[in-house]
Amino acid sequence: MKKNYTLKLVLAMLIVVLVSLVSFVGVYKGKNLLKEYTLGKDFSQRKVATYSIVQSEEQASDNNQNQVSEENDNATQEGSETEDASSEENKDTESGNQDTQANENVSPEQKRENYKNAKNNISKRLTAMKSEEYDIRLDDETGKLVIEVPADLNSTYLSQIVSKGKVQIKNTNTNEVIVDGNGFKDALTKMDTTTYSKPIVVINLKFTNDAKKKLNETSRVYNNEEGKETEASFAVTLDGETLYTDTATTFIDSANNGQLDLVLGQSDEGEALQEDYQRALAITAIIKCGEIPVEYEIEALELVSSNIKAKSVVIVAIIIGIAIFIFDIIKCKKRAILPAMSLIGYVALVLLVLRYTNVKITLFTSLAVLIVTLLNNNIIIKTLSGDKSFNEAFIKELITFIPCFIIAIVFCCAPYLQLASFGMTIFWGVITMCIYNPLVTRIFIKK
Amino acid sequence: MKKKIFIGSIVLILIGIIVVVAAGFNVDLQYRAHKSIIVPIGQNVNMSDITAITNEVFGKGKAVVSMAGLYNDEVVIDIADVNDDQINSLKNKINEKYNINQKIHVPISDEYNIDDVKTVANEVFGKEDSVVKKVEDNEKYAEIEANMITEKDMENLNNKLNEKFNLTNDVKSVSAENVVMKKDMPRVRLTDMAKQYIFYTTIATIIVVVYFAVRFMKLGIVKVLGTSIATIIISELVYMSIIAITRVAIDKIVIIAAFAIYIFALILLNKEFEKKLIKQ
Repeated sequence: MKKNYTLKLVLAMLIVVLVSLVSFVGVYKGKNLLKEYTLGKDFSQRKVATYSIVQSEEQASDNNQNQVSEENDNATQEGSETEDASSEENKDTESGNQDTQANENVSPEQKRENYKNAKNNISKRLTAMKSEEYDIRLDDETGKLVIEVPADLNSTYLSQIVSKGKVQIKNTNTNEVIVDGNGFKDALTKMDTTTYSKPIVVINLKFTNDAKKKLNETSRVYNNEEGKETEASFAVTLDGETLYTDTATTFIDSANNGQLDLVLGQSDEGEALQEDYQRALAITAIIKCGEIPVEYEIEALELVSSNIKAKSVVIVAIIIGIAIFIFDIIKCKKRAILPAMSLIGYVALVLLVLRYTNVKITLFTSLAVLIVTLLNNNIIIKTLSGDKSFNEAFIKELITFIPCFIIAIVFCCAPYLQLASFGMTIFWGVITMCIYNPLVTRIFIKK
Repeated sequence: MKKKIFIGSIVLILIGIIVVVAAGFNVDLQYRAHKSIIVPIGQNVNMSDITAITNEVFGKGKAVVSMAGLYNDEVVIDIADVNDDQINSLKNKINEKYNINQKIHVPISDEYNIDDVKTVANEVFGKEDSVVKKVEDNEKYAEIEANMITEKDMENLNNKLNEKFNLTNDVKSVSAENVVMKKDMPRVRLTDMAKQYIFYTTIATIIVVVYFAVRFMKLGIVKVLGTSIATIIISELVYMSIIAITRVAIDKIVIIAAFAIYIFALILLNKEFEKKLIKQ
């Protein structure tokens, strides 16, 4: 019987050592064969995009003249006359310029309100685009925006996210606007893998009743240059750029159903399809969140690394580990040495699971790892210091932790990375605990 | 004992409220409105060297240094405020350490005297003999060899060249790679940060409290609900009061600690209710 236990103990020790070595050191065959951690913004790079308000020609010139008078510098005064060239580049569309000019005539209070609304709208767009982690900064006076997102977000979307968001359905032959932004009730991005041989990415637009009525009342034909009646073609445009065109009949028939499917891309290549899907998500986010009252342009884009060093995290983890070990020894004397050591194997296994389940590592992940480790340690302490068997103590502690599990499950559904990573880590931590404890910890506790 | 803790907590919360009303929270530099200095070094950077330089220029611990750029060949220095002298001193020290050399291209005109450009370059960059030549492919442009420069240097160079050659060039026409740039970083509103957490935390709290009410019904629903809600709110308020009174800067670690307190408060409540239920 004793021989059998010794064998089990040696095996359990080997498991702890092996798992710890694999997780903390790696498996090398030229390079580390282990999957890398997926790091969140806290531990990896982030994109810092700076946006400024698009200034009209007149305004840019005014600003420069003010600057000149302030500085009383002749050289700068000459330069201001040529400044117009750069502002001309900023003018995207005529309508955009009109909006900007309208923006010039508003009071400072209204401007501040517009900037705030624009920021809130962009924030909603980022959430709708499933950008899990972002910080948004606004200068109330100048309207300047700074958005920080994880480095893996495509830079194209960073320009797209601040677009004005003017969605229209136009008659391309007469340029008449049939439905404007208020005519869309909802928008949805779908991936259709069944209708065609190659999967397609579709944006499903839902019309309001007014828009349906307006489309139905619109003539399907127009008189061409020769005076002949020809079927018109309609287009969905975003800030003047055509997203989709089709015949008037198709548009009006779709409007009768209250919705229209815009096919944005078709491919059987995963990467291309994913790109189309991301683009569709960005457009959907813009349509859903509506227009922003000011026009932005990207001024600078920086790739900045996190200043939290992995070394500091490891040092903090070691200090916490030593503190837990000392606490266990004080509480349960020598009996606690082996079970406390088994915690190292548990943390190593949780970290391995996190690597392979693609849980993004954030500061909240660290908190979750700490919580599940403390839970496991509590089970050990309770078993060692009480009369209960390991299984009884295990179940009792799990019941005590029910509030934490509820929080974890709710957070798993959150679209924000910090919360989601916390929820996922608790989830995987508890599952790992249910496998690791009966197999390893129980043998060390010998109860 | 419980009464004493409760009174102590209320006093602490009141002091905290007074501090917040009078002086607000002390928000970490990264979330406050601050200046961000971008230094494109263009070669491998040793962070401890840069930290030593920033400590010397701005004072110890005043600036937060981060690596930046696709190849980690830039640094971003976040600081509460900065003046031109400090930027110049930073530029000089980094130039000294990394010996940064670059070629600046400036458009002049079809015909000009290169010595005039040299005179301007010497004046702007404080050198006795700047290396200046006409660009081979396009002689309209002059090429000036210089160390890393600041935005002010670039503006100064452009203004002086405009003056000298009667030009109307914009500063953007000066093409340089290694330019120290200062950016105004607006603040991140604490309410915006909180928005990301509040909705899901509230839902989770409601579910947990409902669980408590059902599981510990025998202890009295009102009592369980009241104790749970009061404990969560008071524990968080006490924590925030301590943060406000001690003027600890609010950063992500402080937010995470608030979450930890929230979770441990719920776990302890559960434990307490379980004990009471067994007793009953």
